[in-house]
Amino acid sequence: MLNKIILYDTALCNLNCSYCFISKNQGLKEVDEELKKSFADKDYYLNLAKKYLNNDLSNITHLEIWGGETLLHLDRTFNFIDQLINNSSNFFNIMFSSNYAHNNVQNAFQGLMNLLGKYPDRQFCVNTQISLDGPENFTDSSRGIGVTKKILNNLQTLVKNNYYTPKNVILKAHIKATIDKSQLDLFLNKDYIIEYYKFFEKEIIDLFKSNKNNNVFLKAYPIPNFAVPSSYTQNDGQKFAQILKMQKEIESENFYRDQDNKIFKYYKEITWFGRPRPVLQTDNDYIFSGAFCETGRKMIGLLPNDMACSCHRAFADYCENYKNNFQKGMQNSSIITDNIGNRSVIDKITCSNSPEQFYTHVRRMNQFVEEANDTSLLTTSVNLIRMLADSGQIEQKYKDPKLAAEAFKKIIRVVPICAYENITLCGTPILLSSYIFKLFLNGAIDYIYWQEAEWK
Amino acid sequence: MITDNFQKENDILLNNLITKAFLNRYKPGTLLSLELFITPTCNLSCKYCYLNKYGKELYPLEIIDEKTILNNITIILNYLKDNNCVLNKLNIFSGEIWSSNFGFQVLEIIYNEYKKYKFSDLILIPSNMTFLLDNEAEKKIQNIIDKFEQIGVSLRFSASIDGKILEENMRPFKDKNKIRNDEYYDKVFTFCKNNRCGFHPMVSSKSCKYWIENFKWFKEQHLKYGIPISSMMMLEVRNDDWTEEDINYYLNFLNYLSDDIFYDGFNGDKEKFAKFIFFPGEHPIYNPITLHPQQNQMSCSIQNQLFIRVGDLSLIPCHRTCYPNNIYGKFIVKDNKIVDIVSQNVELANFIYTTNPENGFPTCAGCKFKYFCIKGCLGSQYETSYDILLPNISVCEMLKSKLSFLYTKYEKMGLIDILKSFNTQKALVTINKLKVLEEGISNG
Repeated sequence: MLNKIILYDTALCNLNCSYCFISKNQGLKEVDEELKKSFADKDYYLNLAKKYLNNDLSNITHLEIWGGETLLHLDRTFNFIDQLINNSSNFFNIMFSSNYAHNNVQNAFQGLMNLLGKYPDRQFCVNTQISLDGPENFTDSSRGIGVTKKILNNLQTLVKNNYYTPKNVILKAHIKATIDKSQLDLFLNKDYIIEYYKFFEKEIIDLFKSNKNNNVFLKAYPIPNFAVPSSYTQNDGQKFAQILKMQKEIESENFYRDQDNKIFKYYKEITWFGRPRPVLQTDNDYIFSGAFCETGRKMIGLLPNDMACSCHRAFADYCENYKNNFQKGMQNSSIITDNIGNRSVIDKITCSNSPEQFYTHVRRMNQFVEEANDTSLLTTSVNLIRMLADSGQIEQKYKDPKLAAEAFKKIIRVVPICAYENITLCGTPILLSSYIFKLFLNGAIDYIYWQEAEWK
Repeated sequence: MITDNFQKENDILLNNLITKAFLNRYKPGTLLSLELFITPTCNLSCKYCYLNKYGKELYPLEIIDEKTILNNITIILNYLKDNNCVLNKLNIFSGEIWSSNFGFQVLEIIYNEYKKYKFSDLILIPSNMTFLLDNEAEKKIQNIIDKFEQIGVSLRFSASIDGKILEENMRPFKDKNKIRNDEYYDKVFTFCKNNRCGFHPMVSSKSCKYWIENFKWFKEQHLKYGIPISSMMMLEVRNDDWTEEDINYYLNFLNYLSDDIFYDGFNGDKEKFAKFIFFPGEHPIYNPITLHPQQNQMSCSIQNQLFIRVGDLSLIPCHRTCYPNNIYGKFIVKDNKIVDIVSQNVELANFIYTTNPENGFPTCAGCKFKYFCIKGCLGSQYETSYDILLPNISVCEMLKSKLSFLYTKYEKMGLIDILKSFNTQKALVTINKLKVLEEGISNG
């Protein structure tokens, strides 16, 4: 059941991060004009939501806002948020991601909190994802000089002001730290690993702990993630394994030290992907539905020109078509009707021209993910793992089908399956790219599941 | 060998896959075939044809260059020769080029290469047989067939003829001046008889209404020319356009067909008929009334045939799935020789070549009809939903309705009981799988 709406409030961004999945091109200005026009029509998104959701918004509980840099034009969404509050009594959760690295951050939060404060009888939860990759030299190297300072300044002001939250709002902050493939080598050094996490302890965890209000808090201690998709090779996988080994050793050493002499003030676990999800398993079957992202199953992204898409990353396809058409000299929204023969240019299922097309995608995702006893995901992945082992690109032991199956089950407990990525790289949601297996099955997965009973 | 280059690693993967699957010396019992997709150019506008609708995407105009294609055929065959490859058969697929100079050149090149190295005993060419409208073309084709025969190779055409009742409506000429008359069909059947060609009419959703009459015509013609009707392959067109009415017409035809084969083909002998239904033979020509387990693979040749789009030497899943997203990779040529393979979608290649649809294809893996279902057409699925693996709803409906109907009919005839009496391993396997089918039918 669809319970989440995604809006894209802007295609513009003040940064150009090296790993961003939206390529910064001149066409984005055109896209942003389209977005601006769509928001200027006060009822456009409400009517579009009703069209795609069969006139019934009562199941909508979540709103996600993506971009571009969402806080540049968060105000564009306020009208729709108002409408959603009045059309769905179940709606309570707003989430957005931001780089926090510009001058509109404070205004954006103030505006949102003022809006939510107008409904004191409703309880809201605002989830804010903060893109902060690590220490200053680390973050600035992939996102621009001076970015880290701007982020921290904005954060300090927000926390000092309790994020301007009214009484009926809880705010949860989450740090999204991204590591680009080119930065892996930095972590082949224990001192650097320690310095990396101490940065977060000092600048983020301490900061949030200094706020004594109980409605604003940090969801979890930051652990970084990898920029995906990426062209991880066997060599990268071996490096990754080494890094995880070092992280486990640091954890172990930290555990055994006296309280006064700990390496970290707060962290007990620092290993990337080090918290596998619980196993979902019946007697006979391994249920994989929990491993998939929610694309096409729980969420719908609303776009200009009566279009919809399946998730926040699918917005990149919408922007990519503008890039292509901008290069061809097209300046307006005729991308929808630009044809090759009788076919539409937008040929990725992630962007839909109609509810019928969108719900084909929904059906696809539900069939692929929700059906019990479906062994297809396991079978296809095991076959690929064995081929990789046979070609010498992952550890040889995975030629064994049992070990390959076990390895796959371990991987999807730590890495959610991104259907959009699978569709983009391989054409269909259940085919995972080889890079995932190269990353994890050159030793890394063994360290992730390495347990030392005494200090665990 | 460790390499820090992701593309190179994927190239190695695809290379290994192709080598393991196709380039090793032919092993008896393994079906390894090659299809060369020459060009989508065709003289007909068949209503259900994917080449007619999507030809430009499947085979972009910019890679249709006759000179390049002819040269690439030589390059491909030399590559196979250098790898000591022996094929079960070579398929030459196109729209329709066999009354054109280009078509003759294609055959001449292949003949010249076969003279140097016998790649296979059999070459198969699906054709709409309209080259028979041109006497000169007919002569040239016959001549080349005879030449191949002399070097021990059967060059066989497979007649893509839907039948006199249907063709004018379902498969019109692009050139309105061309017509098919009785004289033409006489030529077709004479040619096919003389050259041991089979027929493979397509059973499309909108033609089912007329198929009883159409079948009667085919049977008449087969009898007239002494061609066994059992050599005719009737295959459903698995486009996503089957309505309830179409399915009902189809079931009606299947009812007629099964009765006809039972009474006329097997003289009402239930035991022999049961053997035909449940065990049609090791390499059966597909007959829609049979009810035998699929052999852990797709019913088409996508999993055991190497497909090459000759215009640009792309390695493709098949001639209906070679949309840009689905290309496995491409041969790289240097000095007129294939020197490498560059990959594009190695994950899809691995999936297609190694996956048993009964436990690896989404949706099919959990379906109780899977053991007997021929499954959907991956190309048609992609055309409907842009996902090669998402079954078309109406095609599933048609296939399930067909299996339900056949099972019920054969049960009433007592054929399931006869099957149980066979007491062989094969019969046991079929019975167990029929139990699953029965569950699926009961569950609706």
